[in-house]
Amino acid sequence: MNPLPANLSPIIDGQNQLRQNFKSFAQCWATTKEDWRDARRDQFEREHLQGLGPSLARLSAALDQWRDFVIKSDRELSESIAE
Amino acid sequence: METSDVRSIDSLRLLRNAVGDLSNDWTIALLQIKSSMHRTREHFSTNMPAYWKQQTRIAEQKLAEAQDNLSRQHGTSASGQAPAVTEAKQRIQAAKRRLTICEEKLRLASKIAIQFDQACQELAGPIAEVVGHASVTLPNGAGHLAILIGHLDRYAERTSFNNLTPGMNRSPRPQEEPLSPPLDDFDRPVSLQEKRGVEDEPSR
Repeated sequence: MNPLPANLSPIIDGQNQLRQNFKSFAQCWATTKEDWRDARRDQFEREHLQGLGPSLARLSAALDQWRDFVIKSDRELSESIAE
Repeated sequence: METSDVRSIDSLRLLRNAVGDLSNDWTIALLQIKSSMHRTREHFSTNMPAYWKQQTRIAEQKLAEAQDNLSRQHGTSASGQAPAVTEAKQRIQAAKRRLTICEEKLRLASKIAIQFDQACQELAGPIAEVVGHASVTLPNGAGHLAILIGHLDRYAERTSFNNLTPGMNRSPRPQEEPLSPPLDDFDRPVSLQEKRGVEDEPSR
């Protein structure tokens, strides 16, 4: 018998969901930009949207690292490695 | 005077909805991620140590049984049952190896539980950033868009009425003509009258 590894599917699903939602939103924003061309739009983008992509990228990278740690730890704590 | 160049108010409405959707969807996805992290913490802090603790107990019992077995073989092997004694000794060696592995895994499980907490702390900052966007930045953005849309709607209404001549129906604004109302007061909160659709006296 082997101890069950951590279930990472919900994390992967959540991460994909974050990316997919952002992708859809980015498409909507690109369309809106065609119809809204003034300084107010640039200000809106700067204040409300500009930070989204970089924050999401940082979270994705951190989640990838966290998942690698969990997989490695599960492997180290499984029966098969030491036997 | 700052003016606005908006070719389609509907486009802004779609954007406002999309901003709201992104805020909601991200909130749900983040909750799922945090909930899964919580379960994974339990996996490393409770389940794994418990598993190896139990395996250690089983290995100790097996070793004790193997040692008893060897004692019995010594007692009955005076007439020379060497193979049985050898087998009993091998069982003891195997049980000792298993016990050593279990003890090492138990120590490792405790170490990994601590390292896992550190890994979660490193994740806390990036998660908080996105939570901030989902719960503050995006809702604020949707609020700003709602105010802007309100201004543009009122401006469009006003200019449509002004362009009417007696006996004419109101015609829609040509698609290519941008709305360019002055928006100096864009950041001003919408008044109760405006929310109810009652126009203030024109100030410009």
